[in-house]
Amino acid sequence: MARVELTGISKRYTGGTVALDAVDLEVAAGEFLVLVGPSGCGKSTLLRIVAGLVEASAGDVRFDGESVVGLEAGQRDVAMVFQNYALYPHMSVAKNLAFPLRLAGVARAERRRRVAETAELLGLTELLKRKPAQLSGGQMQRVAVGRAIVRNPRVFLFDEPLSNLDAKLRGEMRGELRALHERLGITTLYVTHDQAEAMTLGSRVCVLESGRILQVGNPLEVFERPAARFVAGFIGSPPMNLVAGVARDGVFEAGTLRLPTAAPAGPLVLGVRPHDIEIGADGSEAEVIDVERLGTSTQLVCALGPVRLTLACEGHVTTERGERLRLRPRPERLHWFDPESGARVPT
Amino acid sequence: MRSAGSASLGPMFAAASFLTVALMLQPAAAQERTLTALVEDATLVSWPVLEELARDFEARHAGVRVELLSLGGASGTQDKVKFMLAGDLPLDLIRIDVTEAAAFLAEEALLDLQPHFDADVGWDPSSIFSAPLAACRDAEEHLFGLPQTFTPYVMYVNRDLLARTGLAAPGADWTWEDFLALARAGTRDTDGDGRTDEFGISLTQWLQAVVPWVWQNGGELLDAGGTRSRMDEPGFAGALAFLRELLFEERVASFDATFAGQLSQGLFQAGRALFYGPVGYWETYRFQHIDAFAWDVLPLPRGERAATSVAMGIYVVPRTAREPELAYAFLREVLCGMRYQQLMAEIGNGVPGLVAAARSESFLANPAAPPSVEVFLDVMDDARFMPPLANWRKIESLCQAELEGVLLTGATSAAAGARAMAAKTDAFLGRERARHGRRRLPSGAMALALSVSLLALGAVFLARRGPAPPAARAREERHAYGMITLWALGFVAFLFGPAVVSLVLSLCEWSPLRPFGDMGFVGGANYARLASDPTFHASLSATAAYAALAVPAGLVVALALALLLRSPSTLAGIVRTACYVPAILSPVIVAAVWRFVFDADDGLINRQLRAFGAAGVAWLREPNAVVPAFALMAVWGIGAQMLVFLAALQAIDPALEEAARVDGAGPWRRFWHVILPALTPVVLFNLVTGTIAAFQVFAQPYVMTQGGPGDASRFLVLYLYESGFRHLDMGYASAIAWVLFVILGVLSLTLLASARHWVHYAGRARG
Repeated sequence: MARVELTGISKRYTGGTVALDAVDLEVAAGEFLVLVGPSGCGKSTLLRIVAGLVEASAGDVRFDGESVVGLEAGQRDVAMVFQNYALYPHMSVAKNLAFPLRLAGVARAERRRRVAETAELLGLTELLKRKPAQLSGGQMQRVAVGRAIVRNPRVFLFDEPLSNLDAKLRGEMRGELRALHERLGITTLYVTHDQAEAMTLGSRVCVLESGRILQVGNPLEVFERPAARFVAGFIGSPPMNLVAGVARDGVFEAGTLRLPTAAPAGPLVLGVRPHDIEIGADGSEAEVIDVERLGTSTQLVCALGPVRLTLACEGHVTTERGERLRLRPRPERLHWFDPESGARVPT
Repeated sequence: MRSAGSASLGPMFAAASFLTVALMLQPAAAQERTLTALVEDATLVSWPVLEELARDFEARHAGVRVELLSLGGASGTQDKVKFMLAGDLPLDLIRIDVTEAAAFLAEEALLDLQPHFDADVGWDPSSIFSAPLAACRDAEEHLFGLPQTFTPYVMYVNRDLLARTGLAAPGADWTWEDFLALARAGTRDTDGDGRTDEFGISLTQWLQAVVPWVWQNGGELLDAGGTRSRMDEPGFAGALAFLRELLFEERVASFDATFAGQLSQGLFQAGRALFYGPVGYWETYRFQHIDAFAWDVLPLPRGERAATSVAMGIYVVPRTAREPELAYAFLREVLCGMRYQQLMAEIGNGVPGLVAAARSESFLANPAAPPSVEVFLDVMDDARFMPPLANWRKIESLCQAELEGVLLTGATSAAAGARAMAAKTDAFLGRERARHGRRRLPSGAMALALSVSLLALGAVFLARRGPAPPAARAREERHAYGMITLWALGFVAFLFGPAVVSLVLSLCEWSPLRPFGDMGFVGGANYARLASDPTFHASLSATAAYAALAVPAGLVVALALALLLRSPSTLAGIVRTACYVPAILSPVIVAAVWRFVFDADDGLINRQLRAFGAAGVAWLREPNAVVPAFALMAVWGIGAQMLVFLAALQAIDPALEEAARVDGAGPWRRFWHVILPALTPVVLFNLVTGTIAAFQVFAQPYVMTQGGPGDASRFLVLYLYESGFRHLDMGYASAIAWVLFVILGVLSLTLLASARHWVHYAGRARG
C-alpha cells in the first residue's frame, strides 16, 4: 500500500502531440482513484507513466515520497490489469498466476500456496489447468486480476479492465472489484471512459480532458458541483442539459427560457440535470418533441424556442409528443458556466 | 441476381481451363521444311557468319528454313543438348563434345551418316585431319559426324619471364627435367613477404589436362578394351606424384583458374606464371589482348615419351532428326567450307578440322595467335583422344573427385588417389557390365501405372469426401470444383503425372537420349546401387551436414534480425529491405557474387582475415570448409524467413510484453517466456520449409564448385542432376529423387509430430 504522488507530469510525442500537460495528482494510500475521461484524454498514458511502461517528458512520480522515475516497470512493485487481459496464451491459468512470483524468485512451494490462495479468492480453483483460450471473458478477467493480486503489490493499475465484457458481467465484476479492494485495501488507479463505472467504483474520481485534470473529488461532489462545463456534461446519465444564453440584469435568457441568476451580465451557460426540472403550473412554456420510455423513468425532450431541454420523470408518465408543458428548473440545482473557459461561475 | 452470377462462374472457369489446355495442345499449322540446328553459342563472333551461311543455304534450297538455336555458354552447353533431346524437341543438327559421342552412340541416339558420305560425290575424306576424322567413326568405321574444331593440349609460356630466368629457351623436345628446372627458376617471391608472387606454372588439373602427363610417363587410364582401369599402375601414379611434387613440395606450381569452377584465375594473364597448361587453343581467345608481355606456346615437355590429349567439338545428326538429308547437307557446307572454318581459326576457337583452313593464313598467320601456332599441328602426331567409352563422363567425374584430393587439397597421396580412382572405376565398370541383358519395360506399363495412380487419386478423393451434402452446399461445392479445375489439371499434368513417371523410372534404366518408351526394367536395382554407391553416401552426408548447419543458423540469424528490425524507424526500414534483397535475387547471381567473397587469394573474407593477421581459408577448395561456406551463404539469404518472423512479431499483442514488463521480466525473459512461445508456430514453419530448401540446394554448388573439392559439396540434387543429365542415367536420378522425397517426408513429419511438444498456437491449446 503506497501513497502515489504525481507532480507536473507532461507527455509530448515527437510530432508535437501533447498527451498530458503538467498533471498534478495525489492518491492516498489504500485509496481507489478512478481516472475518467473520453478516449484520447491522456488517462491511459498517465496510468502507463505510473506503471513505468511510458516515460514522462517531464514531472515526477513518487511512491510514498520516493521517486520511481527511472525504475523499470518490474522494479516498481505495481501490478496492472489490461483491457484485453494480456494473459500469456501458452501458459495455463496456474502458470499465468505464478509467472510474476517466478520472476520475483519466490520459491516453488510458496508460489504454489499463493496461487492456490488467489485462485480460491477469485473462484479460479477449477480452472487452474486450463489455457486462456479455454476460458470465457469473465474467467479471463478474473485470472488477469488474480495475476495482479497474487504479488501483493504496492499499487494496482487497471486499464479499462471491464470494457470487453458484456453489460451484465460488467455489473457483476464492478461489485467484485469493489469488494476485493475493500478486502485488500491496496492503492488502486483505475482507468475508464465509462462515467457510471467511475461513479460506482471510485472513492475519488479524477476527470481528465485533453491531457489536463478538470476535477478531482469524491463521486458525489463531482456530480453535485462539477467544476467545469465538460465535467458537467460527462458525468451523469442522462447527461446534464447545457444551454447557452445571456445574463442580463440578474435574468438568464435563452429561447423562451427565463431564469433568475446571480451571475454577472454577459454570455452564460446554464447547466441543469434532467432530474432537476419540474413540470408545473408556472414556468417557461415548452413543447414535447420526443418521449423515451425506459420503464423506471421517462425522458422527455422539450423545445423552448430554439432551446432543447431533456427532463427525466420518475416512473411512467402519460405525456405525449406535441403536448405543451410548463417547465421549472429547480433554482437551487442550477449550475452556471463561463462559455469561454468552461469554468464554473460561482454564485 | 447474385446467385445466378456466381452459378455461372464455376462452369466458366472450367470452360476457360479446357480451352487453354486445348489451345496449348493445338499442333502448329503445317509449313515449310525446317532444319533446326543447335551448334553454336549466339554470343560468339562466329554466330553472324553461321547465320549468313544459313541464309545462303535457304537460298539454294527452296522451301527450307534454317533455324539456328543458341547453345548457351560455358558448361551448360552439353546439358542443353541433352535436355532438348530428352524433351523430344526436334533437333536436326547438334554439336557435341567428342568425349560424349560414345554415350550417344551407345544409346543409338546418332544417325549413321556413312550412307550420306558414300552417296556424296564431292566428299573427300583427306580434306579433314585424319585423327580427328577417325574419332568420328563408330565401331563399324562408319562416320557419324565431322569435326568442327579440335585442339591438342599444349603449354603456354610467358616469354618475358622465360628470358628473366636466364636459362635457355626450351626446344620442341624438352623434358620433365628441363621443365622442372625452368619452373624452379621462374618461381619467385618478388616483394619478399614470404608468399610466392610468380609461379613456375599455373597448372591445369582436370582429368583431360592431367592425362597427358600420365601418357608421357608410360601410364594408361584403361586397358585396350575399356573393361578395366590401369590407374593403379606405376605410370599413372608416378605422373600424379610428379604433379603433386610441383604443387606441394617444390611449390613451383599454382592452382589453375578454371579448375572446378574456382575463381582464382588469371595468374598467367596477370604475368605471374612462367608456364600455363596443359591447355588447348581456346586460351588464345582470352590471351590475344595481352599487351604487357610476350607469350607463346610450346609442346608439352616429354617424359618417357611425348604425348598429349585432344579436345574436339563435332557436328552430329540425332537419330530423331526430321530432316536428316538437309542436316547432312548443311553440316557438309559449314564444316567443309573455308569461310566458317577459317573464321573459327581467326577467332581462336580451335584448330579447324578442315586441313585447307588450318594450312591457310587464317590459322598460320593469325595476328591473334601465338607465334609458334604450328605447334598445335605438330603435336598431333603424339596426340590421343579420350577413350571412346559410353560412360566416360561418369568415369571422368569419379576420377575428378579423387583427383581433387590429390592435386587440389593435397589430402590424398598420389598412390592412394590412384588406387581409389582405379577401384571406383573398376567397380563402376563391373556394375555396368552386370547391367547388360536388361529386360525391356513392357510397352503400356507406364500408361498402366499412370492410370492406376490416377484412379487411386480419384478413389482417395471420393473416400475422403464423405456423405453427399445438402443441395445448397452441393451447388457451392460444384462451383468450387469448377474454380479449381485449371489448377487440378496443372497438378495432374505437371506434378502428379511426372511424379508417377519418375517412380516408375526409378525402377528402370533409361537414358534421356532414348525414346521415352524404350526403358529397361531393373526392379530395385537402382535403389540397391544407391545403398552401395560411395558418391551417394558422400552426397547424403554433405547434404545432411549442410542442412544441420544452414537451417539452425538461418533460423537464429533471421529471428535476431527480425527482433532488431521490428521497431518502425527509417533506418530499420532500409536495413529490412537490404536484408530481404538477397532473397529475391537469382541463386545463380548470388553464387557468382559469392565466388568473389570466398575466393582464396583475393576474396572479401580472406582479405579481411589477413588484415587481422589471420590465415585465410581456401573456402571452396578445402573439403572441411566448403559446406560451412555454403551454409554461410544460405544465412545471407534468410530475408524471406526474417520477413515471416517480422510479420509474426507484429502480430504479438503488445500488451503481453507490457504485462511481462510489469510482472518484472527483463528483455531476455520477455523474449524467452513471451515472444518465443508466441513465435513457435512460425519457427516450425521456417524450420520445415528451411529444411526442405536446404536438402534441395542446387544452383549454388552447381555454379561455384560443381560438387568439389572431391565430393565435399556434391549435394543430393546436384548429384541427381549429374546422374540424370550428365551421365544419362535417368532411372538412377529418379531413385535419388525418391530417396530425397522419403527423407524429406520423414523429416517433415517428424518435425510436425514433435510440434505438439513445443509449438504453441494462440487461441488453441496444444495437444
